[in-house]
Amino acid sequence: MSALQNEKYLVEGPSGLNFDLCYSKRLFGYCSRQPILNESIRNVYFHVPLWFGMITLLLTSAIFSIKYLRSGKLGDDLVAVEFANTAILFGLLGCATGSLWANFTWGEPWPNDPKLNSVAVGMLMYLAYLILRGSFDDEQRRARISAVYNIFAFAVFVPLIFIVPRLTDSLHPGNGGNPAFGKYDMDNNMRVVFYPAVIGFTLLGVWITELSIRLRRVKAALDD
Amino acid sequence: MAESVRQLSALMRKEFLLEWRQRYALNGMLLYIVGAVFVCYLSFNARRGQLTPIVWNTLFWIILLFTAINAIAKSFVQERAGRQLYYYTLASPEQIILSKILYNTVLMLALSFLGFSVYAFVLGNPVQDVPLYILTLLLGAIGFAASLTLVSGIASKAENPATLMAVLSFPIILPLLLMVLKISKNALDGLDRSVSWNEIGIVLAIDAIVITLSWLLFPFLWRS
Amino acid sequence: MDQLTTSLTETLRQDGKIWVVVVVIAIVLLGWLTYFLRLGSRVGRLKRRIDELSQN
Repeated sequence: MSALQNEKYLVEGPSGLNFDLCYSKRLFGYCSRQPILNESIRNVYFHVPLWFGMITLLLTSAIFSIKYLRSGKLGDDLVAVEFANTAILFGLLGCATGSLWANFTWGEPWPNDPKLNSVAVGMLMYLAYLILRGSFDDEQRRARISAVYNIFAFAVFVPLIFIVPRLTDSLHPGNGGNPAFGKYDMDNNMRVVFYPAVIGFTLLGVWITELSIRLRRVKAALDD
Repeated sequence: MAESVRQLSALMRKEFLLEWRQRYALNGMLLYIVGAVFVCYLSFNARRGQLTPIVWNTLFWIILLFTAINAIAKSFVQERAGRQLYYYTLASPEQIILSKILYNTVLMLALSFLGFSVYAFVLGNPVQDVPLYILTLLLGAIGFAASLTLVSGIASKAENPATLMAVLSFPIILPLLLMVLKISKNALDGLDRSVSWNEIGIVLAIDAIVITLSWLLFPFLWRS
Repeated sequence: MDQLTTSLTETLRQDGKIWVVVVVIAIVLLGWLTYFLRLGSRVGRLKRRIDELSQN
């Protein structure tokens, strides 16, 4: 099936339905043609923003931990935990979607790829953070010690996720001498969707976090 | 400046003295690494030089990792709370953490050199670039000591320090371990040294980050 | 079972693997949905507590 036919087929739908929504045209419409990825290149709009969102959320969490250590207000610690929680949700979803995508393009659900392994270790780090929080009874003590661990973990997480995969061979673009996406995989038409998707996913993460924070605040107020 | 160096050396002397008074703990660690090496030797049932280089290298670093976690875990746990309070009134927290890191580095160096010689003795020594391998041991000892000392401080504040120590330290130590494994593999294969500069730089950077963060974060930790 | 998996795999591979994208979208949406449902049940529990408080 040629790209043109393919596009027509997808835009019109199997039964000749006319998708004329702008987003669906972007989503199902023009994309640069890929040999193995085929249409699944569109996963870039859903899989990659999850990771971008996760990293932004973790950075925010670390910043609030620093803020807590400076101010000593329990509210800041609460914000830091909830950001870490949402980041873990994004990370797990990213793992699930990535594993599915890998299964159909790289042939294995969990190929031995440095980026996957780094991310798995990163998830372990933040799950350990939650476990650490669970092992204290005193609130101030828990907040202070887990803030220290959170900052420390983020500082190790950054080289783990940005430097280690770049040194070894990887299936992911942008690593181990592979060109970063943007050079071959993405053209301007895709960027128009990709960057808004990154911003949207991040903002959605912030919004989810905000909901949980507000819920916790109500709970805290009720407990007093 | 001179004053703080004097205090630092006094603290170091105290660490060594404490260790010397509890010689059974030090001897225990030495026996631990020798025993671990011997158990591996017997389990593999390997004659000299029968392990492939990659297994040889990985096994050695895994043994070192477990030894490091066990050895460094007790750097905060072994001191009673009352005595800790006494030290804290005498010296600043920055000096305490630095002296502990320095002491643990020396301890790890001793343990890893002993481990290396015993390991090479029973399992054969396929290393082709011994100076680089020793440099790796040095870098590894500094990195293990630096990152695990703070984690041990964090874990000692919680209810079940032993489990928490393992859970928190495995993911934290991993980027460092991967880099060190890579350099030591290069040394093992006798590759040109210029191949390893990148990794050495990264290990040094991680060490620097971890030491700086320990220095910055420890004051918040001991206050609780 | 084997046939089922192969046929499922084949279905997902059809049309230039567009169905992989569909499943990925489904996973993301379902993941968020479960998180929201959990959040909702937490809100519900909180509301019950508030109701009890206001009755007393």
